[in-house]
Amino acid sequence: MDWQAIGVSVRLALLTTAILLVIAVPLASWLSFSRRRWTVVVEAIVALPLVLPPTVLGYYVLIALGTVSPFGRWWKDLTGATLAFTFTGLLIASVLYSLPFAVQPLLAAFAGVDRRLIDASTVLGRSRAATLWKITLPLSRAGLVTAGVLTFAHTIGEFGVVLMVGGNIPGQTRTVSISVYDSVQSFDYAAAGLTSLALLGFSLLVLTATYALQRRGSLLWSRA
Amino acid sequence: MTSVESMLSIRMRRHIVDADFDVSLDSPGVTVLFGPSGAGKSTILRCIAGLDRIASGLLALGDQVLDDGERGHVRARHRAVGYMFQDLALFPHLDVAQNVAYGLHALPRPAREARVAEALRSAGVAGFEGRKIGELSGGEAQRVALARTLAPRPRLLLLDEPLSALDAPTRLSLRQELRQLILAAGIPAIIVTHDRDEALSLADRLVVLIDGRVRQIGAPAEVFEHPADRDVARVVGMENTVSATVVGANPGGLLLRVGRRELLARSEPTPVPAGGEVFICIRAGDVGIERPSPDDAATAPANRLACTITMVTEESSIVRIDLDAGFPLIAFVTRRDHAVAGFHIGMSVVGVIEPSALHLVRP
Repeated sequence: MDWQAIGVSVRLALLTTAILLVIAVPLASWLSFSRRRWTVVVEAIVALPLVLPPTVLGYYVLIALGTVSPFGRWWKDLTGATLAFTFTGLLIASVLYSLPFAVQPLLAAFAGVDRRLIDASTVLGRSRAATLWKITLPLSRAGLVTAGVLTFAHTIGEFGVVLMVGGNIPGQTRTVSISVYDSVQSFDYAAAGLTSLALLGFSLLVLTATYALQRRGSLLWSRA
Repeated sequence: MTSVESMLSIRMRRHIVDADFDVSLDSPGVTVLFGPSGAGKSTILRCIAGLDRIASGLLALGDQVLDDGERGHVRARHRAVGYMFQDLALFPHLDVAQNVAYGLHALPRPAREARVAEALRSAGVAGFEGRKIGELSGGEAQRVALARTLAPRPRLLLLDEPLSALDAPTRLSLRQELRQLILAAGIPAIIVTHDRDEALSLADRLVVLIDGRVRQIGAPAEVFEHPADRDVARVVGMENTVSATVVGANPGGLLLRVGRRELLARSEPTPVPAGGEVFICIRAGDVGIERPSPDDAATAPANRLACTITMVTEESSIVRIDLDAGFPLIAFVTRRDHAVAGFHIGMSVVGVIEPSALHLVRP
C-alpha cells in the first residue's frame, strides 16, 4: 500500500477543507443575503467546476499558475519558486475545484434559516457579520458539516485536476487516485487493490459518521 | 402643541401602501395601526424599523431622516427601534438570558446581566434566564420576546400582531397586561393588529388602514362610534351598512328612509340636509329581536321593523340571525335567547334598534 500517497491525499483534503470553509462561509452568506443583481453571475462562476471537465479546469489552472500568467510571475517574484507541479499549486487547484461542494450546502442551509431571526438580529443592533456568526451559522450546523465532508471527500477522490496540475511527484503531488492509476498502469494489481480498499473503507467511515452526526444535530434544535 | 423633535413622521409609498401620518412621541402611549389583513400594516412597521426601504416619501424620527426613499437611509441596526415579530422570532439555539442579552452587546457583562434580570422581571418572567426557548409556553415566550425588545431601551416600540400567536384565554389575560407593561416602560409604541378587541383595549390612538391608505385617525371610542366612511364602519365591526335618504329633522332625531321603511337616528355630529344620501351603520349586537305584539306602535321612539328570518347561523358564543327588513339586517342573539325563542328560517319577528345605535356616515 502507498502510505505516502495516502498521506499526501489526506493532507491535501484537510487543508483544502479548512481553506474552503473560511472562503465559502462569507461567500455563501453574501450570495444568500445580497440583493444585488449580479450575484447570479458569481453563483454561476462558483458552480462552474461542477460542469467543466476536470481537464479543462486543470488546463486553465495550470496556465494561471505558470510563469506566463501575471499571478504565476507574482508568485515567483515573491517566493522564488513556481507553482505548477508543487503541493501548493495542487492545493490552489483543489480549492477552486471543490468550491461548489462547499458553497452549495451552505447556500441550502442558509436558505433554511428563518429570515425573521436574521431580521430580529438586525433590529437588535447587530451587524451582518455578527448575525452570521451568532445566528445563521449555528442554525446551519448541518449544512456546515455537509460542506466540510463533501469538500474533503471530493478532494480525496479528485484525479483529473491533480494529473493536469500536480503531475506525479512522490511525497509532493502523488495522491491516492494517481497512485492507484499508476499501479494499474504497471500491472501491479495487488498494490492498486489494497490502496483502493483502504480508500473505500475510509470514505464509507467518514460518510457514515457524518450522517449519524447530522441526524443527531437536527434533532437537537428541532422546535416542539 | 407637539414639537418637531418628538414626532415620528411617516410619509411613504411601498407596494400598495400610500400612507401619510404622524405619531407623537411626546406622551408615551400606544398607537394602534388597525385594518384588515393585507392592508399594508406590517409593511409600514417594517419600513419604520428599517427592514424594508420605502419606495418614495420621507420617514423621519424627530429631526433624523430615517429613509428619504432615495440614497439617504439609516440602517436598521442603527435606528434604536424595538421590533417584536408576529411569531416572536426568538433564537431557538440560545437560552432565555442569551436571547434577552442579544441586543445588549455594547454593555459590559455585569451591566448586561443586571439589565437582563430587570427586563425579565418587568415582563413577568423573572428567573427564567436558563430556560430553553422550546420549553416555554406561548404566554411565557411572548413575555420573553417583549423583554428582549425592551431590554436595549429603544426610543420607539413596534409590535406586529403581538398577541396573535397565543391561544384565546392567554390572549385575553395578556392584553391588558401588555398595555400596562408598555406604559410602564415609558416608550411610545406602535402596535399592528387586525383584531377589534385588541385595537379597542390597547390603543390610545387608532389609525385605520385599508388598502394601503390611512382612512381615519382618532381615539378608539371615537373611531368605533363614528367611523369616517362605509369601509371603516365595516372594519370596526358595523355588520350592517345600508344606504338611506334623509327625510328631515324630527324632535326625536333625524328621520331617514331606507327603501319603504323609515328609521329614526339620534342627531349626529355631522348633520346632513334633507334629501341627502347617507350610510346607516348598525352593529349586529345592537339589533334586538322580539316576537310581534299588537301594541308595537305604542313603544316608540325605538325603531321597530317587521322582519322575516332568512338564515340562522350558530357561531361559537353567539347566534347570528339574518333578517329581511326590506333591506338585509344582521342581528346577534345569545344562545340562550335563541333556545328560548326557537328562531327559524321564515319566522316573522320584530327587529328593534335604538335610535342611538344608528351611526350615520356620509358616502
